[in-house]
Order: sequence, then C-alpha cells, then structure tokens
Amino acid sequence: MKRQILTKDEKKALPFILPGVIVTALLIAYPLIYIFRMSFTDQSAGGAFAGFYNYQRLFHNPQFLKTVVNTIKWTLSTVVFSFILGTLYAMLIHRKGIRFKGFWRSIIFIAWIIPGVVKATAWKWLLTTDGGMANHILQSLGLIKEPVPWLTTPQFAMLSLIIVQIWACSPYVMLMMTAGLQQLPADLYESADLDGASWWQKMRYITMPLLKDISFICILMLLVWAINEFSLIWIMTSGGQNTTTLSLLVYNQFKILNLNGASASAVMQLLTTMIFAILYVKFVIKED
Amino acid sequence: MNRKKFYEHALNILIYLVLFLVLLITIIPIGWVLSTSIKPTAEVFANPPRWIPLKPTLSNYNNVLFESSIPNAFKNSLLVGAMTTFIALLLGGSAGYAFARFSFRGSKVLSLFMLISQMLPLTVLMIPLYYMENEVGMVDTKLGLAVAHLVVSLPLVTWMAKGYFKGIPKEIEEAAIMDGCSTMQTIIKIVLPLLKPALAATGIYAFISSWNEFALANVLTRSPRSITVPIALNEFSSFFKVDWGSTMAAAMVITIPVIVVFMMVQKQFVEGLAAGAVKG
Repeated sequence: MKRQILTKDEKKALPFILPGVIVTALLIAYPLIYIFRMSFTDQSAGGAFAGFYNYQRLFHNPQFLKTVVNTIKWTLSTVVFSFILGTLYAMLIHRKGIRFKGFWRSIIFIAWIIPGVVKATAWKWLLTTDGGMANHILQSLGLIKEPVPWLTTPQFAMLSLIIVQIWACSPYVMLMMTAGLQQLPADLYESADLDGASWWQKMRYITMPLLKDISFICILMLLVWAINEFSLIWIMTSGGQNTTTLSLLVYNQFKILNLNGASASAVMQLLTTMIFAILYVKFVIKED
Repeated sequence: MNRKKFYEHALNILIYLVLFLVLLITIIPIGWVLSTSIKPTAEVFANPPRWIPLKPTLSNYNNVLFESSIPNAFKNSLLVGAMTTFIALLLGGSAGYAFARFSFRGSKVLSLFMLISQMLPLTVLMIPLYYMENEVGMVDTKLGLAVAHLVVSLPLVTWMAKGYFKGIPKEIEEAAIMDGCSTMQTIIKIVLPLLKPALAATGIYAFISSWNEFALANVLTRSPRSITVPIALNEFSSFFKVDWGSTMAAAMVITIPVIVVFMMVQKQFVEGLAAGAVKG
C-alpha cells in the first residue's frame, strides 16, 4: 500500500491554508528573521557578521538607557491609570439606577475610535503653550497661573504624552470591562443580597474573581500597545524633550540609516513585546 | 430606610457628576477640533481662545477639500484599505475556515503565530518591509502599502474568522454535503450567508485599521501617488507655521467617515471584542 503523506483532512485543509501561510511567512516571519540577522551584522562594513557588537554598542549608549527608563515610565503609568479609570467608568455606568447607559458609553467610545493621528494632532493643538485651549481652561479655573509649556520642555512633555495615552486607552478598558460586567450572573448578586453581603464583600468575592480573566487580557493588551505606540509620540514630540521610547528609538535610528543601532534596538523591542505576547498565548491555550 | 434612600440618591448624583466630567474630558479635544475648523484665520490664535467663533466660516473646509492634498490622500486611503481588506478577507477567511474545520499538523502553531502577530511592533517590521519592497520597486505605491498593511489585517481577520466559523455547527455543513453539495458550494451557499454580518464587521475593522495606520505608511509612502490620509494630515501640522484651521478641518474630514462606519457596526463590534477576549 502507498504511504499517505497527508491525511484526508490535511489534503482538504491545504488549499484553504496555504495562501495565507505563504503570505504570512513572507510578510511577517521572514521580516522577523531579517531584522534578527541584521542585528548580528555590521551594516557600515557591508553587512559582515559582527556577533554581539551592535548589542554591546547599544548597551553602552547612554541614549539607550534613557530610552529604557522612559519606556518603563511610559508603559507602567499609562497601563495602570488607563486600567483603573476605564474600569471605574465601566462600573459607574453599569451601576443599577444610572440612566442613559448607552449614551455615556457611546460618547466614551468615540474617543477610542477616532484615528490615532487625529488624536495626536488635536492634542498637539490643545496643548500649545501660548493660546492653547488646555492652558486657557486651566488658567480660568485657577489651577495654574502661568501657561504650562506642555510639549516643549522635558519637565512636562512625557507627562503630557502619558495623559493623552490614558485619555485614548481608558475607553477600550471601559468597553471590555462593560462586556465583562454584563456577563456576570445577576442571581449571584441577588442571593448575596439576601445573605446581607456588603458592597465590598460582593466586590471582593463575586465581581473581582469573575472579572479576573478579562482584566488580565485588558492589561496585557495595554502593555503591548504602550510598548508599541509610535504615532502619538512621533506626532506630538518626535521623541524630543526626553520622550523617546523604544519604538521611537528604532525609528529615529532607522531614519538616519544607523541600521546597526536600529536593528539591535528593534530586536530589544521585539523581545520585550514578546514576553507579554507569550503570556497572552499561554492564557488562550489554557482557555481552549 | 429613608436614610438609605437618601444616601443612594446622593451617590447617584455624585456618579452623574463624575460621568459628566468624563464626558467633558472626552469631548473637549473633539469639540476644540470642530471649533478651530470653522474659525477664520484671524480668530484661530485669538487670546483668550474662544469656543464659539465670532465669524464662523467654511473656508478651511473649502481649502482642505479643493486646494489640499487631502482629497487625493482620501482616494489613496480608500484604495489601499479596499485592497488590503479584500486580500485579508479572502486569505484570512479561508485560513480561519481551515483552522476551525480541519485537523492538520501545525494547525495549533500556525494559529498561535497568527495571534502573536497581532502584537508585533510595526516599528520592528517596518525596516525589513521597507528594504523588501524597495527591492521590488513597491515603495511609494498603493499596492505596496496595501500589502504591508496585511501585516496587521491578515492575522486579525484569520483569528476572528476562525472564531466565527467555529461558532457554526459542523452538522449544518454535513447535512448540505449529504444533500449533494460540494465543499465549495456548502461554504458559499450555507456558511457565508450565516456569517455575513460578522464577516462584514471584520472587514470593516480591517479597513479602518488600514485607514488609521501611520507608522508603516510614514515609511512606505512619500509622494501624492501613495500617501494616505494620516500622512497627509501629519504634513499639515508639520509646517513651520501651522495653519491650524485647515489642519483641524482636515482632521474632521478624516474622522467623520470612521465615526459613521463605527456607529453602524458598534453593536457587532463590541460583541466581537468581548467574545474574542473571553474565548480567545
């Protein structure tokens, strides 16, 4: 008997899967190998193998260390505050007795769907130092005396970007947590009420455990997005005023054709993102 | 009991106040874009800034729609988005079907690779993609950008389609095959009609992610024949002396289609988002 190379199912699957696999291999897998390989060569010496030379140079570059610190600051603060605020909105709107739920959600939803470039440009205009609306509002509320140079000084630039990112990402958390809250079984709360459970007890023993999975997903997505965010920072500060994060460093080096530095920092960015991506994948496998 | 009711009322009022504040913070930037877009140049830098212009005008829109790079970029964006969405739905849809229906070696690894791909940094992919497309002369072409956007849309569509196809009982297909339909006929006549709304939402999502995409377009386009709306808008605000009135009018022109489309599919979209997260 002839040995079957492909099972019956595999034969059927092949025409469906093959085109997608070829395109993915060409556009995603190959570029990953490409950048990885590039990071071990010296592009200023015709692409000769250079071992860890690029990485050594990168780690001794004070700009890189600053970038790492910036990326950590940026990532942690945007993720923590987006998550807390988004969850808070979701819970407030979900509360029994609060009306116009759809209205509140739709408005917040709008902040999420407008194109990133528009968000960044709008905020750049809003945060203009002289004659900017943000300073005008804060001044008329008496919160600040002098106009704040939001995007043009290292003191405020990173803070401004963080605020804008929180503004942009908390609606996503709100949407996800709303979906999570809506799936919570109402009868659990009813029986908890009958047993005289306090608000905190219901929160601690029903809501929080049941929202654990969706929170985990939310936080992972926020982490990945924060590390990968490019357009917001590029448009608002171009990485100036000490706001360079990893993705900005990769791009800025690429732009001046410092391919040694760009490829090594790209691999560093990739590895950082992949830590969280793998956590996500592990979670999905467990769910399956 | 009355005290409890009073307390509940007070709390609700507090919550409305908080929600109102969130609403303000959400819409102030959007409102400011709108307000600036209808201001005559003389009023744009008025100090103190005003919310409602003294002499509202549509001249910025006139400028954007008839004398700027925006209409051309709009056309480019439509074409790039349409191409990438079409290819992603075709290839990603069929790959998703295979993942959902057949068991084959490598199925798990491949589908997880698709999942991970959705999290890859575009700044990392942009360097190889630039050199690869440069080699074949695809830099600064609409097709080149559409192909690059598959990096985002293909994994997304594959993964979403896989979930949708899994949701359709295998028995329905088996019954159709018993009745003498071929696999292709079953898919076209039975499965796809059932998934029309879901696939439409997926396509719209792919289209919008292409419409909004900045990082790759920033590297892969450079002339009027391929620049998309995000790039055109950014050029507006990168001049030494920014014409904020026209910039904001351009921002409105780019945003309105997105908001309209999203509002149409909001329900499906939110459901998909949640289902994707819960089921993976």
